Amino acid sequence: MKEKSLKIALAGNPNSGKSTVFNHLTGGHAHVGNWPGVTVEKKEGRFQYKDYEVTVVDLPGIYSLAAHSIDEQIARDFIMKEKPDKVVVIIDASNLERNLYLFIQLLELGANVILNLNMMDIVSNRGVVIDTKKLSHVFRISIVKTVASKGEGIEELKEAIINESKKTKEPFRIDYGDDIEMEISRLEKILSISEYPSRWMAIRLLEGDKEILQMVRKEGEKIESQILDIKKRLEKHLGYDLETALVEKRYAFLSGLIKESVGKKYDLIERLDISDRIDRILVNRYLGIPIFLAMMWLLFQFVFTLGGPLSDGIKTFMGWVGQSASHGIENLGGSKWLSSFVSDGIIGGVGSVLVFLPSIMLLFLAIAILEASGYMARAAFVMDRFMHALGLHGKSFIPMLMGFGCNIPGIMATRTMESEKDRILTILVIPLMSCTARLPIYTLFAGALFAENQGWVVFSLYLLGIILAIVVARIFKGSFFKGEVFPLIMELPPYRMPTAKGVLIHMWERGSLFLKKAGTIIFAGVVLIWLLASLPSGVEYASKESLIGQIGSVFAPLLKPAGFGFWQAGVALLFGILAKEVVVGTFGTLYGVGEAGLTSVIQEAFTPLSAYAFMVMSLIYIPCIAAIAAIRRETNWKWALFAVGYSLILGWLLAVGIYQAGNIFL
Amino acid sequence: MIPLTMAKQGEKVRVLKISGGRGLVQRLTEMGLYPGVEIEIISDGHRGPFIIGVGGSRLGLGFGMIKKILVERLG
Repeated sequence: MKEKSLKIALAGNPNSGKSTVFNHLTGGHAHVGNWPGVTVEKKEGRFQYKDYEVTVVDLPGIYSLAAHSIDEQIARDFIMKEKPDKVVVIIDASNLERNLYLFIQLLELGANVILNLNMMDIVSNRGVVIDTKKLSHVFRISIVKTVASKGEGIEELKEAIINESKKTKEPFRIDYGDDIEMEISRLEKILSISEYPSRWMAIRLLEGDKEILQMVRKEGEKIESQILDIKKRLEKHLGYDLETALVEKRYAFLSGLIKESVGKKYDLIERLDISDRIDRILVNRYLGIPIFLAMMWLLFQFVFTLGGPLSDGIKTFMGWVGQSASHGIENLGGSKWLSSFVSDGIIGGVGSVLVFLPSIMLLFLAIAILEASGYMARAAFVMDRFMHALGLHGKSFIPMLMGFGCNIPGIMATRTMESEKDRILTILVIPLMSCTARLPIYTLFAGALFAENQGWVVFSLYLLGIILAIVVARIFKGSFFKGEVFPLIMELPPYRMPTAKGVLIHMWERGSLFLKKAGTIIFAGVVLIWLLASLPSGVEYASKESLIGQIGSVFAPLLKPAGFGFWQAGVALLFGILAKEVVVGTFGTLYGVGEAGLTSVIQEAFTPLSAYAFMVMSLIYIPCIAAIAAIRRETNWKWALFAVGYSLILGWLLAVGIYQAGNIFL
Repeated sequence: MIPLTMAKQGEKVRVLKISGGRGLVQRLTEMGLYPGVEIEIISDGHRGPFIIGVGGSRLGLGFGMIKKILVERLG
């Protein structure tokens, strides 16, 4: 039986349960885009149902197709350009008016939509009845009710997705009132682009949609001035601005429709939700920040006390693997260098990084729990005043917080920020958040040279990153990004009990990328280093005369003022661009030692002061290559290069400054 | 008619007017705040962000925003 294939998109407001629906449809097996280089920002999965193979694309949560933020642009572009077979609009049914706004826009666009009323459990708990027959009749589309968190209604949704019965192809219309309607028809006649419904384009033009305007400009300048004339005329007549008028008409229509199809007074919740009660405490003027700090302390405790023993277990295991490998190779008659390559180079190099897998997974797990429960949004909210005082936008808080796990998801999380200036500023500053990849460096150096105080030393580095971020943001804001910070408007989702499944999937999505990185980039990097250290042939392994020694020697003089002017340090930093963990892996490979040996090597090559300078350098000097690629993707080459440039300069200045000052005063 | 900044926790008010640039006003209207809608003050911020309830959703608004929203108290 031949399989038919369909491509569908999931759209909807943030917090409507879209991801939950996605997970139920696709069984949680999502293909999330790899960051290094490959530009796939969408989450895709698939499922099979009857004789259909359906590809599902999970679009970012959006409030409207007006595309104020990058997320909205991406979602809109996908729907407009890739024209999926169906668009499932997932809606929080306990909040119909606001959620249906997007739905109406999609209908006007002529997309083939299915309305998915989710969170029906909340609706029935409140004693509310929604007349889906009526809604279905008015909009002329299929409606499916679900309670995605419990998996109810998913089969019906699949059925609706594959249903091929053609409904009337007449796109849905809202009556915007005679005056506006007249101008819409006028505009429609002039437009000759056939890709999109002309009525939709006319409306978008009246709303000042820049992208459509660009498309239409190719028809010539006249259209633009005509549109301006129309706007002036209408606004004079209406007495206020056109965009607002159009939005109001839509809401008026929705209001009326909802009154007719929803069977209980809808607007105000008479009694306080539990969520609201919790918020009154957590977001309280006085308690908010202390509570937040307590949460952060808990988070770090969780990650490090649980992660420690697990990391030790892996350390031992990797040690055993390394030994067995080298014995095995020698027993099979392999040469010493091969066995050294495998056990010290590969296993030592990659192993020194894998040791951190437990901490990283736990950190992502904690972040996933905070996000799923709804607390993350409150944290951003609570910190808004503080962020504002620093010249940053409240919405930068979550991306920056995520940057502590890994800079890349942090950089991508800025997509929800509406102000482009604030967004770029945040992106430039995120690499100063000590990501988990830098942790191996800190642990190794602090452990080797600061023994009892290592905890404080590591903490000071995290703190330094934060302070620098504030200072740098301030300076950049004053010079490149002048202007008011866009005011904070955030939706606060109701508090929810995170589901184990949801949270684990989320953790795995991010943590597995770390594993892939270890398996590929770090592995490749280590091999490359080993190669360069062994060539030209005949040269002593990892000596100054080897290729890698020569490369490193170029940088050594530059690093001398910072206290680590020997070529191995230069090489480690150079390869650290691939992935910060490689800095540790490089030392391991170059000195041909495993975990225990590294500590003494470091103790010999560095002093406490130069070690601290080195750690500061690693913190600041450059974002890893995947992060640079992410910055480029989210902005452009100019900003990516700028980020690299300022980091290098700042890192060098600080490392040198610390070392020199330390020498004078200590 | 008072600015939203003067509303207190627990009060219900109706939005009368939102002053501000186009992008901002459009953004708010898309999120459910527009002239005529009834809202409830869940938490007032005193120079900090407010949480307001619009229908079933909760919006966090920064102080700069609150200043621009004019409302009237519901009797």
